Amino acid sequence: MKANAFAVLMAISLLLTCAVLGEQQQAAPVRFEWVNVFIDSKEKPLAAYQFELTAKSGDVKIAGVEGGEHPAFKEPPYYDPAALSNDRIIIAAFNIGKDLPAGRTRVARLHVQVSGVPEYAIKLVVTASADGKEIPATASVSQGEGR
Amino acid sequence: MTTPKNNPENEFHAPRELAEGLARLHGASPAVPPEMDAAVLAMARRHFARRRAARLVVRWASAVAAAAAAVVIAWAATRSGNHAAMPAAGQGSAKSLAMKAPAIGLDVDSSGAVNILDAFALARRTQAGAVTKSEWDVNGDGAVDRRDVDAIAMAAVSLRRGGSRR
Repeated sequence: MKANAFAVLMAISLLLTCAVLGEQQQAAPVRFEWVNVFIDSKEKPLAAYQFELTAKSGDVKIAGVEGGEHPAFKEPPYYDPAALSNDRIIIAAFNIGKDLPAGRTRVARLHVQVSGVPEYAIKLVVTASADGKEIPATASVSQGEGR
Repeated sequence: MTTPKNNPENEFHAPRELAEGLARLHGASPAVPPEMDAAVLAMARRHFARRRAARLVVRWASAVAAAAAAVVIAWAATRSGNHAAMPAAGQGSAKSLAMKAPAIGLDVDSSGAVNILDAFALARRTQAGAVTKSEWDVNGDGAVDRRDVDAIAMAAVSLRRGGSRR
C-alpha cells in the first residue's frame, strides 16, 4: 500500500517535470518573419516620416531593417543599432528630392525573430511634406513569414 | 520383477532396545511458559515494526526530495526562459525615460523635440546653402554638412534618448 503511494508520487513528480519541460520546449520554437510598415499620406507627397514600432506580445527580436518600396525611401532608414535584438525600434527617413510617394506606401520592412504570436503597436511620430510641414497620415503594419 | 531396492524383506530394522533408547535420548522438549512465548513474540514484533517504519520514512523522504527537485528544476527552467526576454523588453522603456529634453543644436526647427524633421530641416538648409548657425555643427568638426544631418537623425531615433516622443 505504502509502496504504491510512493510509486504514484514519483510518477506524478515525473509527469509534472515532463509537462513543464514540454511547455518550455513548445514555447521555444523560433521562426523568422517580416513586418512591413506602411504610411498612407493620402494625396500629399511624403518627404519625411518617423515612427516607433513595439512588439506588444510574443517574444520578438528585431534582426534587420530594409528600406521601402518607393525609390525615395529605398535606402535603409535611420534606426538605432541598439534596437536590433530588441522588441522596440524607432525608424525615420527623409528625402529632399522631388520624386516622392503619395498614398499608401511601404516605407520599411523589418526582419524579426519571433516565438509565440507577435502583435505590434505602431506609433506614427511625424510625417512631413517636401516643404518640411507636418501632414496628416496613418501607419499600419502587415506581417508574414519568410522573405 | 522385484529389485533388491524395493523388496520389503531387504529393509533395515533396528532392534527394539536401540529404538527405545534413541527415543528416550531425544525425548519431548522442555515446556516453555506461554508468558515467555508471548514476550519473545512481542519483542520480535516491535523490532520488525521499527525497521518497517524506518524504511517507510526513507521512502517518503526520497519521494518528497524527488518531487521538490522536480519542482525546483521546472521553476529554474521557467525562470531562465523568462529571464532572457525580460531585459530586452525593459531596456528600451527604462532608458527612454532619460534625456527627453532636446540638446542644444539638435532642435533645428525649434519645435521643442528632436525628431527626423530637425534632420530634414538641416538637410534642406545645407542643400540650399542657408546654414547660418554654427551650433548646428553637432559633431564639432567645424563644418555643417551631411554628417551633422546624420547625427541629428541618429539622435532622433536613439532608444536611449527616446527622441521620438513628442
